[in-house]
Amino acid sequence: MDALTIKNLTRVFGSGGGVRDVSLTVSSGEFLVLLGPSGCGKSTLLRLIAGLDQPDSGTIEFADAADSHQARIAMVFQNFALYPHMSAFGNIAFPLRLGKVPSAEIDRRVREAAAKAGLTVGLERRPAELSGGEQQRVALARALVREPEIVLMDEALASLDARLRSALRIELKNLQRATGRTFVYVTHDQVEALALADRMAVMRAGRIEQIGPPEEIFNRPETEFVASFVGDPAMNLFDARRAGEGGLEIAGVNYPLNLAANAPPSLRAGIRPADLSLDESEGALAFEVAVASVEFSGASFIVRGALSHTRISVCALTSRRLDAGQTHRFFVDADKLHLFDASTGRRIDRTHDLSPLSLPMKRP
Amino acid sequence: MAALRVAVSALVIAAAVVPLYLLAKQALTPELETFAWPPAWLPRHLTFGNFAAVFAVGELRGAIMRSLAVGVISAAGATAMGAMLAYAMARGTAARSAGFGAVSGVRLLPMIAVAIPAGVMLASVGLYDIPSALGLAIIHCAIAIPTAALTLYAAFAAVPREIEEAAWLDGASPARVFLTIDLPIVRGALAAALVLCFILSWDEFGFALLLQQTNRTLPPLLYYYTVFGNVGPASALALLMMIPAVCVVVALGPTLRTALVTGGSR
Repeated sequence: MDALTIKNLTRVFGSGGGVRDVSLTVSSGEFLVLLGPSGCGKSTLLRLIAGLDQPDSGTIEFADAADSHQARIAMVFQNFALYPHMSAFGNIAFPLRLGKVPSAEIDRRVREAAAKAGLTVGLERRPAELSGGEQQRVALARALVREPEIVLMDEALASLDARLRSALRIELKNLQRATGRTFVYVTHDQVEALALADRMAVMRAGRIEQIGPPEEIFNRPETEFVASFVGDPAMNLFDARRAGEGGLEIAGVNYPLNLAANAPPSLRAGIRPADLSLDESEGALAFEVAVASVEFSGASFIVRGALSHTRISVCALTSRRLDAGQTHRFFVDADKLHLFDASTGRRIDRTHDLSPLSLPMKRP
Repeated sequence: MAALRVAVSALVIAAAVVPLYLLAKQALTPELETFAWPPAWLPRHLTFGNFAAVFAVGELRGAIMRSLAVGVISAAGATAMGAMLAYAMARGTAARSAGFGAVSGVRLLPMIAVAIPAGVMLASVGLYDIPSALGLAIIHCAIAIPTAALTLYAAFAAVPREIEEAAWLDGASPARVFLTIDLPIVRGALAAALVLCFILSWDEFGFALLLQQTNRTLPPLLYYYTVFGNVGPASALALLMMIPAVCVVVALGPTLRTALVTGGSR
């Protein structure tokens, strides 16, 4: 069942920001993440769903309600938007009190929602007396207490410190699974998006560039923008040219690739830093990298250097010592090479005799 | 540098304290001493005679009650209306420019220019110089609205928009959001606005003199004392008139300071 259907939604601001002709369907019980750089329209889209802003054109339909104020929608804001003059209990109880729920039931449901959100103590305290993590839990409990169909979250973890953020991320995912609610979550943090999403929509300049499961977004980016935005360290992207019979020239080296004859002459080639390796395998493409710096990150080394005149980074799992100033050969499987049309930025699929890219995992 | 700072501070404090001291001295000494030549800085005889003279005047009790009533009614009215104006100014662009225009317009207007038309208006509805001084309270309320609105504007503007949006999504109507979310958050500024408006009315002289010719409030009463040369009792009354303001400022000092400096949303 669809919790939410958005058709051709447009809301443009004088500054040029906003949402342009977005269509999107959110299934019931799904965790959808809207990811994009600041100003891409992801928060505007969320506010339109919440009914806090009105579209210039287009429609939003909810499963069983005429508009967002009737639909059971709850929202968690980046700054939590707690009521500073009420206790944590009062904050969570506020939506119920407006609904004229009897006080015994309010008490029971507030405690239930607080427990779900992981808030065990301090219900009598004011927001100013709570830590950032506790405030976040109060905001979450306030959103859950009305048993909403859809929970909207706007950068809800962004104001917390890194350790707490990753702990709450796991809790949030578990909570969403346990309650079966539909979550729409806005973030600019691709790590968060990959970790939380059932499906994620990558946005740029008011439009959705690509929507799909995180594995698909990561393994098969549809545009150069998605390829460069998702992944850390970011994907290496090089200028490339079609050369000879289906070959591809990158940084002055010609690689035989079986490129389709109708491929554009000028391309961009992308390689994930983790797909580059020191070990040569059958049919791998070799790249000469002048190493500029080596950074130990615990699980691997992050090597930064130059391929011809373009910067390149490599995540290398190696026990071999790499030194700055040396030149090393790194290898990448031909099917790990992502190609984009340099003029449109769109992905180019190569001929079928290459092994297929790893398929997206089946989602529950 | 340090010496200069001390000297300047001393001068500023003296400018505020010396007149107060002289007022207290006049109130507490017989009238003969006030006009003694050469003037004496220190009192020779202390007396409460001036205070007794003030309380002996039959008009005083009525004037105190009237001033209190006018102050309370006008402060409550101005704060209530100022709060609505300030909220509109804080949340709407059109309301902001219109509001600031109206507020500064009232402040730029020479009050005396509207005093006579105001008196005619009050007379036409039967509120001129009545014992309850309701007419004066209405005028004081109108004068105080800009003060209340400006005090509250910064406080409302400091309430994060998201808090209101959260309450709206929780199911509260706009009126409910204003009453149960915004007003409690800005309560410090509300207290400040009430106090400032009360003091504005308590001290107001021009309208009080013209609109309550016979049923006087305290400032005109004080004026008549001085006019008729009763400097001692006048000083005693002036001293008494400062009591409410001093009490309020001492009691609400920290709240007032926060409200006036930060907009009061703490």
